[in-house]
Amino acid sequence: MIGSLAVLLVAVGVAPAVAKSTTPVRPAAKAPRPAPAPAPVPTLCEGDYADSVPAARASEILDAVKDQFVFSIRNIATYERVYYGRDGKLRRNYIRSVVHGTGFAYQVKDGETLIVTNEHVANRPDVTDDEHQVDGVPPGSKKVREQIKIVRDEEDDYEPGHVPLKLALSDSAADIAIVKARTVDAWAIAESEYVLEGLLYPRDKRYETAEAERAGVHLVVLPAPEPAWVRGDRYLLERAALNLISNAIEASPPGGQVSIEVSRQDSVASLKVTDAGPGIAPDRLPRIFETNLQGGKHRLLAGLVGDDLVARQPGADIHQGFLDLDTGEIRSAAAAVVARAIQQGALEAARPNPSSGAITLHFTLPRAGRARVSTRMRLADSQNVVAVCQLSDGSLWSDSAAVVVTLAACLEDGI
Amino acid sequence: MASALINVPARAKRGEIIEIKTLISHVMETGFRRTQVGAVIPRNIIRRFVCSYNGAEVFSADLHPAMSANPFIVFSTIATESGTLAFEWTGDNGFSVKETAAITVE
Amino acid sequence: MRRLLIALGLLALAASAFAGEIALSDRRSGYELMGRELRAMQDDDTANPGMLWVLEGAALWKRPTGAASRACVDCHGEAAVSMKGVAAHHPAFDAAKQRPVSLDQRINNCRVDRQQAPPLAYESRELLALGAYVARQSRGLPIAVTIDDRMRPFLDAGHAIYERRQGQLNLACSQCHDDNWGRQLAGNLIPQAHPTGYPLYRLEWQSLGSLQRRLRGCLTGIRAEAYDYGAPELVDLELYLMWRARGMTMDAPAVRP
Repeated sequence: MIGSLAVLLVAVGVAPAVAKSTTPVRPAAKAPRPAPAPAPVPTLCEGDYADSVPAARASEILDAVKDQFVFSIRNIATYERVYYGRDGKLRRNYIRSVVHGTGFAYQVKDGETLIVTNEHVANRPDVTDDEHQVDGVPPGSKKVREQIKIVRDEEDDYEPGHVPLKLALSDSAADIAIVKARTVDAWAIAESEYVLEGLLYPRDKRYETAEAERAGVHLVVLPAPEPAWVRGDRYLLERAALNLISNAIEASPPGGQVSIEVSRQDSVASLKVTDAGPGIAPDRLPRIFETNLQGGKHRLLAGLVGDDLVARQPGADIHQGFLDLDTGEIRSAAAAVVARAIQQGALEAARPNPSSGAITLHFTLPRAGRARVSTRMRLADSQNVVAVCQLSDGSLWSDSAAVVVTLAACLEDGI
Repeated sequence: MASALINVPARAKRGEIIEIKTLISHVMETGFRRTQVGAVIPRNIIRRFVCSYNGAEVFSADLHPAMSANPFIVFSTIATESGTLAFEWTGDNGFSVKETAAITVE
Repeated sequence: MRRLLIALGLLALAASAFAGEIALSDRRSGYELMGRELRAMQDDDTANPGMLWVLEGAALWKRPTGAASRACVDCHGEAAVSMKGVAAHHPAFDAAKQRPVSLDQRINNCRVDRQQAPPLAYESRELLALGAYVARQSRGLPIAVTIDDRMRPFLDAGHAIYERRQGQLNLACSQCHDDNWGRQLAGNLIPQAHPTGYPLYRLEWQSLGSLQRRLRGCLTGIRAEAYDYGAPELVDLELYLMWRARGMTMDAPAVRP
């Protein structure tokens, strides 16, 4: 992620909520990192003004949560330099300048998305000169185009599409800015299809059960009779689910029970986590989605904030919310990841060609005998076919073979 | 209609590694092809193949459009006990084929 | 015996009548021009995708159908016995139609006449399955179409089609398959075009297909108007090709790239 992070502004009231520091993110292809010992998450800002938090302490807090964020913001600005060439004619030169910043949080409000990010990402100078310098761009250049995208990290090649942004607020001293984007739909972070239950059964279930065992809490999983397919970003979904489950485990007293239920009803698929904890005080319930809520033991996932209780918006896309199971009195609280249920295969049917996978093989150890499989595949063009394997100790192996593919001399068109 | 062709050794010694060949009849339409008038031919593939040995999963595969038609998968497993090997293919449009093969392990 | 002698004499005549052909000893099946992996795929009955159709054909062989509610097995018994060599000598002369018919047409004739069932569509799954099953019974046997004076005109017609330049590319079959076999056409090896393995699983089709499908594909490739399935021209050409491959070993259902 990006260099030094400064103190976050509170002034606008859009303070990002803090994710639990005890839940390390587990990306799909890498070996799972063991969960570190749970540390109490410090509250970020106590006072009205950020100045009340000493800079060192603020950095400490921010550094602690730094690797919780999945996405960063990439700003590609195109600068145009006009100059006279050797032949005396006017020439234009276009230089692209790419800069990355961290996306701390975003909130959807009134059809707009607000993102808290670094100021140096959001506020590229319109004209470069001695005061406003841009790396790699000669002074006297004018910014003609600017694109902002959410990317996974600096090396991410995924192009979800740019969104025109408007600056809402910025502070160069703190290197913080809030930008506004017009529509939410543009944030296609990494859409994939996902069975909600897949969040419960990663290849090894050690993490949740280990944490539950440590807390002396009994974990009960109730899968849906039919798989519930949803569309969304797998990493965010996984993180949301993991956070809910961790919250529930933490909130439950020892000997209590946390139950995880996946269900689908019409167009809504949900993963509900119920715990035996004290729940949320009734007066705080309507304010759950205000980002400065620090209430109780239920913290919201940073960067994933809904603007209404999910029960009232059954058609909504990914939201993390709280469902009131007991009407009237709240004895137990349930948190749910609710998403629009889709027809399985709907998204992959629209996936572009080429798709990244050809076949994924799962060997059951130690019964496999040999790690060798023969199969047949179709290739449309000459290419490298790559095989990647994750071994049982978590290490990875890969090899590739170049294949030359010739086209058929005669096709059957028109037959 | 013969959907699947399975080759499992009828007998094996305990602890021996046996090779299992499976071939199933399926068009595996990628979803990327177009008709003469330009309409996309919708995707129709087998997505998942699971082999269970006396109820326990010993091998599975997730298939994507790149796999050839009439998917052919050869894998191995250890002959642990006599019983039934169950094979299940599931895919788009509710495609589901289940086959079994018996094996005697000495 | 006398008829056999006449037939042999005619065959000998026929052998010398067509010049420019591949010498009998130089003939190679497409099998020998394939790579090692494809040959292994064809040889292994558990890995040959054509066997899926053969198994289906075996099931269809026993299924009663049509108004007469008869299955093939009711008249023909076990295919391994009764169908042995049948595919190797088709196209054969059909007295009722007074012309040679291909194996597919023979199967359909049986369906219509004896089973009182509607004929199966060309290249339909069922017809391919039955054709593959019947052809499988001739595996390992030499191709032996009989040419007598009744068949002679059709053989000549088939040969004429083989030698005639056709299509926008103005190519004749013999130009590629007699003169340039073994060389490459746009990266693909040109075979000698012996139908020893039909119906075969073609990787390009990702499915089993008949010889007529292949012939129509070639005609489309040279930008000629392809004859319809079951057209007499295609059967004549098939007859000529089978005669050209006389004595070569059948290996249906084959696998070809």
